[in-house]
Amino acid sequence: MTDDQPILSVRRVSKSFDGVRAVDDVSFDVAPAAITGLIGPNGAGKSTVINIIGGSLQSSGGSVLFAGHQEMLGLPPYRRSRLGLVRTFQRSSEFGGLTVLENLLVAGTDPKEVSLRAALVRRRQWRRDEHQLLDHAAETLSGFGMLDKANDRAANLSGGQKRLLELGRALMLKPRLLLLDEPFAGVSPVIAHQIEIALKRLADDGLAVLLVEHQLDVIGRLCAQVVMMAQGQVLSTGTMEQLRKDPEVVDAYLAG
Amino acid sequence: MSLFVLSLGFGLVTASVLSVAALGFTLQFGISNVLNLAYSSFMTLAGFIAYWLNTQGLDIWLCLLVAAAATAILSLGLSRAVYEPFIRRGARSFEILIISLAVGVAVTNLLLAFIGPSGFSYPGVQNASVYHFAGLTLTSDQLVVIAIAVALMIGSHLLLTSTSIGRALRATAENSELARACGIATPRITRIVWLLSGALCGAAGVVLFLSISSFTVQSGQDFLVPIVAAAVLGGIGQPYGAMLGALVIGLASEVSAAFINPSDKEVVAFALLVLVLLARPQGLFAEAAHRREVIT
Amino acid sequence: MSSAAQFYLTNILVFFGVDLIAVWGLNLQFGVTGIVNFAFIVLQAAGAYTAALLTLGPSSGNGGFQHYFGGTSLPFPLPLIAAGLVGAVLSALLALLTRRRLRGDYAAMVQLVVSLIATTVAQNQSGFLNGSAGLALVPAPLQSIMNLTPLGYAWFYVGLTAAVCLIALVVVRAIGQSPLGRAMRASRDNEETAASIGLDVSRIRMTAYVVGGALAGISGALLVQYIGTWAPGAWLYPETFVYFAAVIVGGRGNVLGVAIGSLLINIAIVEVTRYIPQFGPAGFIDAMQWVVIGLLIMAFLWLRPRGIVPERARRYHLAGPAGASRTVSQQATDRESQTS
Repeated sequence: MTDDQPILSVRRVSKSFDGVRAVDDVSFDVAPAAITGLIGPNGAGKSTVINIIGGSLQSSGGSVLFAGHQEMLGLPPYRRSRLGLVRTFQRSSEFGGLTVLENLLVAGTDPKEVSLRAALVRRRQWRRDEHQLLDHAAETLSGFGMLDKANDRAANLSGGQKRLLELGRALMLKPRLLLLDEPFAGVSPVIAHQIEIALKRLADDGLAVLLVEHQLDVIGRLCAQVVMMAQGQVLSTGTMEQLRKDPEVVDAYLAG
Repeated sequence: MSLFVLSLGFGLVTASVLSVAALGFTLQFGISNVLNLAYSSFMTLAGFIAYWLNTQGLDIWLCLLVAAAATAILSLGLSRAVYEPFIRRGARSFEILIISLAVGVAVTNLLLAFIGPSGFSYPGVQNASVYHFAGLTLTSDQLVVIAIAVALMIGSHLLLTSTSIGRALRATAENSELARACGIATPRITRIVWLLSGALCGAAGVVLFLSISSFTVQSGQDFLVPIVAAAVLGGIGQPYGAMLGALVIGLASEVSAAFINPSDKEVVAFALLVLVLLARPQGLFAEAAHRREVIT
Repeated sequence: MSSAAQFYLTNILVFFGVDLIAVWGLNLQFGVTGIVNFAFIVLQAAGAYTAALLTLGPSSGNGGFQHYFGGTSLPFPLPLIAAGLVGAVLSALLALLTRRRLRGDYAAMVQLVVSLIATTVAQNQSGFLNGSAGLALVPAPLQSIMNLTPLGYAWFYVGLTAAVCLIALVVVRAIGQSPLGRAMRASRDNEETAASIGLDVSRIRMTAYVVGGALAGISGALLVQYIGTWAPGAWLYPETFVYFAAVIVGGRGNVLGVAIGSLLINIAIVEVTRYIPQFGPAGFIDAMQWVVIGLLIMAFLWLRPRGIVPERARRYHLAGPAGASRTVSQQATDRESQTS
């Protein structure tokens, strides 16, 4: 894969609910090692698009090509994550019964070790791998300043901390493309800032991000490229500067 | 051929009892989204309340009314004291199922503990005349049972079409998820629905006991799966669906008993329920809009 | 201790061991993985019937008053292993049956009705498993080889049950502490999120069904070879309910919790009350047991849903800042949540 080839190519995906076209013939690209924004008024279909890319919804037709050659449509969500396409959710999605550390460990474990065989006969192997995982997890937690919460039950975290945990958990999977569905919603400015810095650093290190977000100033700061949707269709793409000047975009926000 | 027609007669009686019971069951299901597995034990309770009153000399039809009223109040109590608190807390659907099963088991066994396992019949009722027509053979009691069921069906139809409660129920039947979201299930409507369905439950219990020659504390339990089958077949909260489902289940199990081993006839209702749940959980008569509520 | 008291004690111990194995299996399914299996008792029954059929010999034997299919005389421990396999396979079929994403209570209803169908068929088909009379005269393992008094054999069987319990405990703990166990808990807590981090939730659930089913089958085999008989009356669908009570009351998700739950429900309430002198109308105490169990389930789900012994977290000890070497030790500490 060459450097300028998009990490994700969405082509002509559509989705209807009871006759209403929530997503209508949508196509766009996501560049590697950069943060791409997905914006639009309420009901534009952004979450539906994320769900289609992530695998929890089926598209009627079209294609979602990952890393130039892997067709994503038709694959179940867990296969997509293993291939490097990882998503987060809008609502709280921590594993409440596990500790913060376990939340990270369960994401970072090699799928081959999540098996009965490994549990019964390959104990030395997974214990050894777990030591390494713990290092990685501890580093991630330190990065977010949450190392002291490592052994706390995930359900007891504050909303913002849960967001950070979700991000950290996604990173344990060593993703190539991260789908973030409104990660800043309901989060304190301090934590929002932390997330911003982390995302910038990750993009510099080579991670691609598709960011759905309402706060346009964040989008402006983070995103090199922005895709704007309204009423289920892609209205325009470009930098935030360009979109701000586009009269169609302005109309859509005022009307929607 | 006569065996077929004979079983058709039994089928009508069974279907009559089932339709009253399934109607109440599906109304509870529609308004609260709860599979109330304690339903049949409440039917049994009603049957025995009527029995006790009957032994005190009260006329059997008055017993039925009193038992239905008592069951109405008890059902409302069950909903408010047990189901609603758990639902408010966000209990998952199978947890509520376990709880309803717990209530059912507790009630049935309380009755068993104090009444014992023996069989009873209503003292004030004699198995009088037998009627033959169109090849069917039915006792006067069974005819009365069918008549009561038909009367209740007509009454329900009137209720559904002419009252505001009826409108709310029909809206819930149309799309229960939406109806609840729209706030149709106000506390007042919910209360009334549980009272009505509880009354139907009580009536069904007494009517069931009338239709069999001797009843025990377990008699209601035997009907639980056919009731659920009829209600699910007809679609969640669909009153007319439940009545139709009851007809299908009642006739199917009795008629099939004429052709297969009679002791297997209960398996027919069981197997039908499993098939419906697996193949078409939204019921035969529901629209696709219901699909979202039964499939996660 | 008198001979009668010893027999009573060996009974209690064997029943407890059998219930432990079963409840650990159910816990793996319901407590750890979050799947509801309302047909659980059928798996235990299948194991019991398997062991019985594999040890009874042909149906013409013993005077030919029992009618069943198959029938060979396999030596210990083959019937036990076969029972585990049968439990595992049937459990896998149950998993496939409810794989379609039905809402939780509908899926549970399907399983409940399957359980009902199973008992009805077993009762009615007289040539299959000897109908409602069930199977009797199931020989006890190794009894002919060992020359023991009845009481001596009873104690031997206690030892045998304890050994199988120990194996079950080792297996269940190994799973619980492994990455698989962690993945099971994750899919219990949040299925959609579990898929989003690369977990194959259907395969994880199938594993829980299979291992839980094997344990259930083995428990059935141990039980039938001790009491020598097995009839449909022993495995009606409410029996699953009793095991669920043990898991819910004792503390779902952890081995100790459900063991305590089993002690309380299966032994204290069910077995011990059997020996209390009867008062009130006939069958009063037996019926009241069910009332108590029903009330306990409701009380615990309302007041203390995590059970008497809540699930404990694995605490990892991370020493020093990044760069320094880390030691990892686990101290299991009671996890009391601020949100009940």
